Order: sequence, then C-alpha cells, then structure tokens
Amino acid sequence: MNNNVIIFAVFWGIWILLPVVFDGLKVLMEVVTVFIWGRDFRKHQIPPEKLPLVTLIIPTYNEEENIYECLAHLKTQTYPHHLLEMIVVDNGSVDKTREIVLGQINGSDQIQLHGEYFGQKEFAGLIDLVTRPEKGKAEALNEGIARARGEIIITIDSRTFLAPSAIYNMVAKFIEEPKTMAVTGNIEINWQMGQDKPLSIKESFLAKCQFLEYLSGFRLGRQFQDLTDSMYTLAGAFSGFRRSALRTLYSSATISEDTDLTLSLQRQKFHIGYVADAKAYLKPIMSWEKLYAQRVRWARGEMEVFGLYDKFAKRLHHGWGKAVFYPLLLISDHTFTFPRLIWTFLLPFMVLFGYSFYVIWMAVLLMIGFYILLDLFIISCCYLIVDNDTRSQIRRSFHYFLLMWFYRFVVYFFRLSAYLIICRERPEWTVETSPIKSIKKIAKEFSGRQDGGP
Amino acid sequence: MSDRLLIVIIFFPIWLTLVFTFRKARQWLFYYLFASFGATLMMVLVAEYFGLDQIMVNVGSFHTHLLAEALGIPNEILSSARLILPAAGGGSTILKLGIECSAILEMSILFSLLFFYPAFRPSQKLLKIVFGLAATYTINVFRMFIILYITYRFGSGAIYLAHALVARFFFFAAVITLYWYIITKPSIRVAGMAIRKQSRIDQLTQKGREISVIHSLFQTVIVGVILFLGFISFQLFSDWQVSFGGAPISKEEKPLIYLDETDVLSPKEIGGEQSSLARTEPMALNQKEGLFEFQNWAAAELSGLTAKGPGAAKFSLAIDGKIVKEGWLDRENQESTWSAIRVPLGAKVTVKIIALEDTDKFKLNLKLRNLNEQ
Repeated sequence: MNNNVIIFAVFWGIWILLPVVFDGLKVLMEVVTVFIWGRDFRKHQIPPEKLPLVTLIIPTYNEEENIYECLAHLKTQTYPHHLLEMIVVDNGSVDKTREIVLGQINGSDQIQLHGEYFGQKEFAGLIDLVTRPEKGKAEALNEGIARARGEIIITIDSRTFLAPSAIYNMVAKFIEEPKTMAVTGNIEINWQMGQDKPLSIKESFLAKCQFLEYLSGFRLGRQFQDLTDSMYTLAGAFSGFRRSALRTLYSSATISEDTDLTLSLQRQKFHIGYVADAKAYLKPIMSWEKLYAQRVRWARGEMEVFGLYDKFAKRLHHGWGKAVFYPLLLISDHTFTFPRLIWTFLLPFMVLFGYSFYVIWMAVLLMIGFYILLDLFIISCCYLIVDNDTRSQIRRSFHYFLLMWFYRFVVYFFRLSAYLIICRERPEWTVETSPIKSIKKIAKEFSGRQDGGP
Repeated sequence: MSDRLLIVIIFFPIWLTLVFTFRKARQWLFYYLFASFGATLMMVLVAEYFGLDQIMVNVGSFHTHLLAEALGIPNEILSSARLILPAAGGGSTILKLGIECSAILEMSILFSLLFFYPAFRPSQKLLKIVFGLAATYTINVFRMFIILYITYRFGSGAIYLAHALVARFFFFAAVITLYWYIITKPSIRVAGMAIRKQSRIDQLTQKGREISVIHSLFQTVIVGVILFLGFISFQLFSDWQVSFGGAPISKEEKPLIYLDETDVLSPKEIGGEQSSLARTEPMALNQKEGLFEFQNWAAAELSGLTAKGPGAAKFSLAIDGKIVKEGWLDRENQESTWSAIRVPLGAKVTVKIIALEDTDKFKLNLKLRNLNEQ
C-alpha cells in the first residue's frame, strides 16, 4: 500500500476515520478502566437475614410469545422466593398475555423451559396481575411502583429472561455498596432461546451482531460509566432501585422513559451503578424493520432527554464524569453523524478531483480494515473478562467481527434517520415513515410487476 | 462546455424531483441524504468550473500571509497562492497552496447540511450558514498558518507531518466544534423545547421557539467582524494582487519592485561560496530612480556590486531601510567592493539607483556569499 493511499485516507477520509479513532480511544479508555478497576469476580456472601424484600415489576403489552418464559425464569431464581413479589402490569393486551400470566399464578408444579421439565422450586412468592386499560409503559411502571412493598424494586421487560442468580447478585450490589441507589444489570443477547429451527443468514447476521454490540456496550461501556459516574441509561430491560430513590417516578414525556429516569436520578446526585454478574438475556431482534424502530426510539429518546436535561448535563458540580462524557456521547452520536454522511458518499467521487480509483478504493478498504481491527480488539478484551457461558457465545459469533463494520454502518443510518424524524414526526413505537418499509414496498411492487402483475 | 458542468445541468432536475418526492413522502432519511449530498456535489463542480476554488485558495493564502506577518513570522506572498518563508536549517521554503487548501469542499458540505436540516427555520438557517461559512474559512486560514509555522520552526522536512496530520487534525477538531455549536447544541435545545411544549419541532411557534438572542447576536457579531477584517485587509494591502498572480504592478505607476521568484535565493540557487544576484535582463529603468529589492532568505554576506553598461550610475545599498553603502559605478569603475556586510536572515536588501548619467539602463550584480547558517 503506497503513501498516496495512506495520505488520501488520512487527509480526506478523516471525516470517516476519525470518528472510528474517537470510538477506538473511547474503547481503549473503557478497557483500561475496566481491566484495572472493574474486574471483581468475588462471589457474594450475604447473610440471609440481611436480604430484603424485592419487588419485580414487569410491564406487558401483547407479549404472549415471551411472558411465559419470562416468568418461568423468575421462578428459577436463587434469591429466596419468600422475599420476592412480582407485579405484572398489563397495558390492555389483546392477545393471550393475561391468560398466560394467570396460568403461571395458578400453575402446575412443573415448569417447562427450553423443552425440558424442571421441578418447580418451592415458591411462596406472590405474583400479582394488574390490568390497565390504557397503553403507556411509564404509567405501567409507576402503577407497579405504587403497589410495591419491597425495599428493592427491580423493573424488567417481559422479553427479558433472568439468569438464576441475577436478582441475588443485583441485591448484593445494593448491600455491599450502601451509597448505590440504582443499578443496571448486564444484558446479553441470546439467539438460541426459543429457537426451534436454525437461523437464516439474515437472522444469524442480526442476532450475532447484536450480541457483539451488547457485549461491548454493557460489559465495557456500562462498567466504564459506573466507574466514572457517567451512567446514561439504566436499561429498561433489567434495572434495580432502592425504594427511596424512586421519589421521582417514570415519566412519559419522552419516548425513553428509562433514560429520562436515569438522568433524573443523576440530577439528584444518586450513585448509579452496573452489576456485571446480574445477567439477563434478551432475544435478538430478527428483522431490519424492528431494529430500525428500536434504534429510532433510542436515538430520539437520547435527543429528547438531553433536551430536557440540557443545563444539568453540562454542570461540573454534578461530577466530572458527566460533564465530560455526556457531551462526548452526543458528539459521537449526533455531531459526527452529519459530516460523515456526506463524506461517506463523496469519497468515491474524489476521482472527479484528480484522484485515481485505485487510491480511493484502497483508502476505503484501509478504513474498513481499521473498523474490523477495532471490533477484533473489543471482542478480544471482552473475552478476557466475561464468564464461561458468555465466552462460549463469543466463540460461536466471533467471526462476525468481520461484518460488524457493515452492521454499524446500517445502524448509523438508522440513528441519522431518528435525528431527522424527531424534527418532523410525532413519537411512535413503530415508525410509519420507516425507509425499510418503503424499500420493501418498492421491492414488492417491482417483483410484482416482474411476475406480470399490474 | 465542461463535461462537469454538463453533469450538473443534467443531474439538477432529476435531483430536484427526487428531493421533492422524498420530502412529500416523508422519507426524511432519503430526503436529507439525497438533498445534501447532491447539493454538495453540484456546488463543488460549479465552483470548480468558475474557478471559485482557485479564488478561495488565493484569498486564503493572502490572509495566511497577513496572519503570519502579524505574529512576527517573516514571509512573503508570491504569485498564485505561494508563500515563501525562511525555513529552519537554513534556506527558504516556498509553500504552494493547492485546491485542497481552499476549504471549498468543507464549506459546500456545511452549506448543504444546514440548508436541508429540518430542525431550523429559514431565518435561523441563513444565519447559521453565513456564520458557518465564515467560521470554516477562518479555521482554514488558521490551518494553513499551522503548516506555515511548523515549516518555519522545523524546516521543510516537516511539511508532510504538518499538512497531513497536525493541521488536518486541528481542522477536523475545529470544524467538529463548529458543527456541535451550530447543529447539535441547538438541536438538543429545540428537542427539549418541543417536549416541554408537547409539540413537534417544526411546529413550534415563533414565540414558542424562544430564540436565543445572545447566540444570534454572538453569531452576527462574529460574522460581521470576519467580513470587516476581510474587507479592510483587501483595502489596506496591495500585495493581494500578487497572490492572484494577476498583472504585475505597472512599472510606470510605481517604483520597480522585484519580488518574484527569480529574486529569491536559496542555498541551492546561490550555488558556490561566491555568487551573485543577477538579472537576466538589465534593469530597464523607466525612471531615473529605481528600486532593486529582495528579501534575504538565506544568511549571507554582501561583498560588492558590479555593473555593466554605458554611462554612470549612483547607487545606494540599504539593509532594512538603513543605507550602508553609497557610490558611483561608471565605465571606469564598474565594480564596487567592500568588506563583507553581514545580512541578517529575513532582512530586506535594497539597491537603489539614485542617479543615472548618459544611460537609462544598467545591469547590476550583487555579490553574495552564502553562509549556510541555521
């Protein structure tokens, strides 16, 4: 590779390369911080008499596919069952969600999980089903909080499946660190759950890329945020709170009620942490359209929440971590997005300004190579600090580090779309004006015409 | 007609149609992508066709020259966006500023991204565009200054590092800061506003917008200052014509000023120990008083003056305006020598013919010894 390629890549490709370098430095910082301060693999030894009552709140809406498995996993928790209460808040589901929950409440002695039968542990815990006719996740959570009796309140999504020791490990964090007021668990994508048939190429790509994405986002990212007191979102999928921290409830003002609550707690100067050994599994999103809708919600929520907390986010007296890393997050997510958009498409046209195709394309390959190396580095670092179960998942998906650049490239466009949609469209859970839908529609019409259709 | 202009003419109606179609269909991603990228490409091609990129680089080089002078770095501007300066290690370096230094690409991109971004109203967009373009231009001038300064301090060998890395990273960081200020920060603010008022961003009323008066004022003042400085710099300094490489200053109008490349000596050009600054043509004096001037970019000693021509001439030799030698050269005495006069680096050496007899032409050679010093 000659000097011209490198010069071109650095000089013109800087708009694409430098955000990667920025991300790379961020990852390096995360790795160093986590490796030095964030590797505590001690087993928790909490005397049983110190364990508090825990309330689990599970909002649901049309989750007949997942709610059975969600509750089944809760029933296999190692946390003493007499100290658990579960409140399922149903937001007016029109499918069989309610029937399944009632079946669990009054269910048989055995539970079926992953095609096997387990003897149900002695379960003296209480599952309560609350029905609300109106939609609204924030309101559902608040309803659950109002009814909760536990000292620790844990919120999970109905698509979240907790590892057996998740609740115990999360509670242990609260006991071992009295100043911690809220924590997020370690969310991991599990593509094997509930899968009866092999994954298609598309499904495999989406599932494993999401796994790798969540791996770095939680195991490195959240841990780093815990250590630098710059937690930005307590995952709605699995988070825990001391009761006294929930004086402020979830708000439905923004589309990201979890981020909203997190910044609200941060503003009150509560310490917010991350529990690496409180594992929860999520099924991956297997369609581009649903992934698009999710990422638009996240990006939109980010803008809305930071807009609401604009003044707070910049103040140093709330902690240097927040004052430094919140703006860096916005620069990385929002600011870089704009010049990167043009330069991504402009680089090939540099041939009009006298550069050869060879130089341009070699430079593009060089930049892709950089992305690939970065992902390899991230995955390798994560491999060293996770448990054996996760390591086996990494081994099964390791080769996707070669394709993560493309996944991130697509997700980048989803994020940009969100920043534009926020200006023109009302917030919604699914996105009517989704470009994925449009592309599918055009493709369908085109193939319909090719088949001799109208 | 240039094929690039033809591309633009053909592409423009297609682009316009697609932009309106995507907008109507509320496909904001495709709308923004197509609109901003297409506009950037067309603007750059049109700018190149009309030579705007060359104008920008000439103007930019001129402002870089002024900035360097103001900060005490000796440099002169030559024709066609070239700057000459003494380089560390002896000798001089000529920096030729190319089209990449014009920032025309980055300015076109900024314009397009702002123009089609749906979060701002037209009046806000206008202000942001004007401010953004002025700021990008200014950042680019500073970028060129960084290259010049590093070359001045560390020699011509550092140009690659300066150009491809240091200055480029500076430019990137400064422009990202600019994008943060004019795009991200206001976007977050209006997003929060829309939440508080339970409205869509584009539907916020005039009153509901709560335009930040301070920010608008700040941007207006900055733009005004930059435009004013640009305007007066053109008015006050006649060198700007040189940067454009246009017609040289008329000899009839002003005393002869020779400040082009042939006058500049580098250790290489000086050659051996003894050399001379010579004219390829005799000085064609149109006036009895003329000025023969160069700036010394290599440490040197002056040791004499020789002349060829009929008649006689009285000369004066000045260094940085101070006359150090005076004398007559005529047919009998066609050489004037003296013990070496040390010329400091960057000094202006002026040999002036202050009187002529029986001739109107004189060929002068100034004897120099290159000291090859740091």
